[in-house]
Amino acid sequence: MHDDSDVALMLGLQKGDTAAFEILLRRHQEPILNLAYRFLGDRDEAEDLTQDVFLRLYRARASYRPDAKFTTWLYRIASNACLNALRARKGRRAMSLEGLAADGRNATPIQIEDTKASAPPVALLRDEMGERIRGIVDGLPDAQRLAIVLNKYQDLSYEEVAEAMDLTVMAVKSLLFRARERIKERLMPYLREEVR
Amino acid sequence: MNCDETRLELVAFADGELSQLEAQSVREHLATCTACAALADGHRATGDLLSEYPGIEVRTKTTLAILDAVEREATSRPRRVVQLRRWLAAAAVVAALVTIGSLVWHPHIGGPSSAGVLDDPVVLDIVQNLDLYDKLDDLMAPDIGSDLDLRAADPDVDDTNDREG
Repeated sequence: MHDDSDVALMLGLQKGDTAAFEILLRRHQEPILNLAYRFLGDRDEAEDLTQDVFLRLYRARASYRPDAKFTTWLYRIASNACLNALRARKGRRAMSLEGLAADGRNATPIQIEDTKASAPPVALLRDEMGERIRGIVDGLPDAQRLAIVLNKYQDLSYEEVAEAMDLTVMAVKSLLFRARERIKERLMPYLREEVR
Repeated sequence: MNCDETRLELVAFADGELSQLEAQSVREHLATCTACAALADGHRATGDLLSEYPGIEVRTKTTLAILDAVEREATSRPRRVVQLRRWLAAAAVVAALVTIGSLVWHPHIGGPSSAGVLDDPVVLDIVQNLDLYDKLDDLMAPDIGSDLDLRAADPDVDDTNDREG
């Protein structure tokens, strides 16, 4: 039912109903924002990417076919945008590292804040665990991270992840298996003794 | 299913992604193997811990920025189409002028069709005297080829003048 109305809105948008776009945006922007946030690990970049995804959706409205599930189509646009953003970021980083190497003698020493020293005495365990999980997910290879985010946080089935990432279901299964093995390894200290 | 086969399926099993038959095979193995059962619990617990990663909420300014960008896109599109049409019209005028210019300077371009070619007195003369023109070609051929082919074929031909030139 929910997805049918997405399709109806897309068809409306194709006919020039811009109000349909606003409904689609308000309905789906939070999942897309969180996909981008968990994949890129940065709020500002995630917001820029969300804007980019919805602009692409608007521009590609004519190519949408109602036989394709709307969310799968949207996640495919978003997944491509995520991978492109990462490539652009790596390009920028490579350039800034070159600049840093060139200006190495004049570089200002980087101040690293000791977060543990300023942490409150009573740690908020939930927040701490959230940060730890975030660090572990951030440390996954790109394809594994995207597969985990789509499957675990966006609730996409293996088949839907495969469609979004343009992979086979077997490839997704393999990516998720390796990702979860790696996460489990990193989370070992937090798992009960009997399940390690 | 043995332990190795089962372990490869544990993540998909924890995610509910196995077929009924595959899931049943895993369940049967886990019922008899405590080591694999512990690993399955580990994957389930990892899955639970993963859900601790907090998400973020949409800020109103982000929504407004997207709506604004799309509105700008929607209003700028027709302008682009108008610009494109103007460019196409200008290109068509230029193409027409070039064609007319070519016809003025080279009137034979785009001239008579193959049927009309025979109306040309020069062409008609060639067609009617083909034998004579063939003989003329034969007479002229050695002279035309002397500078090129004959010199290559005869090593005694003196080409010093050419080299000095």
